[in-house]
Amino acid sequence: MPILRADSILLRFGGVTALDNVSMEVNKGEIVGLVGPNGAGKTSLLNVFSGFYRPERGRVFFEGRDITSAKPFQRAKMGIGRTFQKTSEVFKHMTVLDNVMLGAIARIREGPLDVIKSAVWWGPGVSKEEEVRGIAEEVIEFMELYEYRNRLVGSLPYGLQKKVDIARALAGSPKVLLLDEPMAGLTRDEREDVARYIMEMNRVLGISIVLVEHDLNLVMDLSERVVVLNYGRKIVEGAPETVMRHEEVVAAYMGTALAAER
Amino acid sequence: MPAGIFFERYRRDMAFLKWPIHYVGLAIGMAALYLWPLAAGYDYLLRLAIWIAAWSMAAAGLNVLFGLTGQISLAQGAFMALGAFTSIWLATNGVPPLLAIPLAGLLVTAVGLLFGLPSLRLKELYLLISTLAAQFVIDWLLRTEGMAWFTGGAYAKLAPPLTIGPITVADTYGIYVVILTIVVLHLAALANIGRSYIGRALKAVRDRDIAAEIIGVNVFKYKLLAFMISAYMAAVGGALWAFAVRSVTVESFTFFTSLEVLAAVLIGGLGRVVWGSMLGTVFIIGVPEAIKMAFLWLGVRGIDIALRDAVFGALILAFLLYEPLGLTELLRKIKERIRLFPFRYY
Repeated sequence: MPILRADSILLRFGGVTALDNVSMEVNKGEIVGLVGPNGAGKTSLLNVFSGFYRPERGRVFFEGRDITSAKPFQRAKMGIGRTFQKTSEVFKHMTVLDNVMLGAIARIREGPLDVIKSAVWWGPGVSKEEEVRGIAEEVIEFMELYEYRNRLVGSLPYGLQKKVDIARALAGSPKVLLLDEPMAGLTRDEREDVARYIMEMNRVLGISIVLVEHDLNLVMDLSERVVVLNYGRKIVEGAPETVMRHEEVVAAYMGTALAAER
Repeated sequence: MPAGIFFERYRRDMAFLKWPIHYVGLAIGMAALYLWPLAAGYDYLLRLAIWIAAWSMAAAGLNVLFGLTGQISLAQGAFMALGAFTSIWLATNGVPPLLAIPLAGLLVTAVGLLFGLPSLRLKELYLLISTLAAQFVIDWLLRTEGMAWFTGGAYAKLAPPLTIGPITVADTYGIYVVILTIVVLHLAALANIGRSYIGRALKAVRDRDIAAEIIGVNVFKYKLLAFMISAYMAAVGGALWAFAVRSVTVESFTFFTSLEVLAAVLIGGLGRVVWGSMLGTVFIIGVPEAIKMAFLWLGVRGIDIALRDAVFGALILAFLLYEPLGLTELLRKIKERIRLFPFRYY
């Protein structure tokens, strides 16, 4: 049974059709690659999943429930985690620890009296903070960020900021993690690191993953299934080997002349 | 921080008071705050201290809203006025003053919530203008004849004396102690909120609201919460002022009060809720008074008020040019210099 499913999504911005009748599903415990040339609609589809865009037509289901009208923060609380393409989305004026602890907000229960509970800093308010800190420390250990715990995120190099982004999403204990180009702009070493984290999150923590990435070799290696988008349409879906040989995919990536040559 | 000492519980690591020096510092600081009037208890200085205490409440509220959450507001003066009149009205109707002060705060919180609603759609300068509208609408409402029962109209509204149970606090030092206690409790509460998950959510809204929403922060809820906290703090500050001076007019809190509070937050340090607000208020109230006294001592008469404003404006400008992050940043730099002495870098 798919844990996350988009059903014939139509998304338009003025005259531009960003997603045209796209359906996609993510099964429990699998890594799905989502690839396509620039402007194909990969990030738009992720934004539909995480609720930032509302599709004109089509529905989104999570664990069998229709969540099309749920707000982004509600989806995060249900268990849809998300990382971002750009590091401008990490909170640069906060420390790594604060960022990760903030990520845990997706899994804690917020009560109306929490303002008072945390204001007195006694009893339940502190216990909750301790719990959050515990979660954050586990994630920091998992992502090997301990030495940067108290550094401001803005002062860290790009690769580490990307790692903080993943750690923040992980702290919310997501069931599905939407990774939007987690390796863009990283060095080879860092890429392999991130690839290892993705494998570990999937195999050890059992998180289903949607991976948007331009490094096709990596995507093919990691994912069990690949979905290819082009100009807002889904052209093919299937096992990595078969997808890569598909005529339309080659055409989309290398142009029609080259495709004819092959 | 001593190297090699580590805590075994997160609770200890998250505490404000970690090392013995913190306890010593707190004890000395508190003793100094409570006891200095015994050594130099001029009525004038005490009045000034009460003034600073009341204004620092409003500044701390604005610091939560502006410094932590990134939403600008210029309505603190109006909320202070509402707090002052509401607490007087409650106290004259039989509510004990110590209860009337927080109760007035809670009532004004609802008004703050109302004027926080535009923050759903408006950002930055546009939000600033909408809060400016709040300031002027409330100010106008309080000046209308229909509200004379509430504000005293053209006359001052007189507050009943500050009583704690059967005891009536009449002397300035007693009032100072009561007000200081209330302010310290509120600032400690704000500091605690700042280090809880609520504080982190507020900072997330400030740094990047879209990302905050997607990782699970209900952005609108936290914006409203920040507006409510800032209105509450301003109202309690106004109420404290009302019971300290015991007569409030519609002229006591105006648009200029809002500007003063905003200037205090900017000079003290954005996002440094306790220290920034306190130091900023001391600066914004203490420095003009000091300049006035200096002119008096120098024998400058007639133009001293104009000169004071000019000198004060120049000081603020110099501050924003040389230390835009505020007094707290300046102190941090000094502390760092002392820690590293005799080296300059590490």
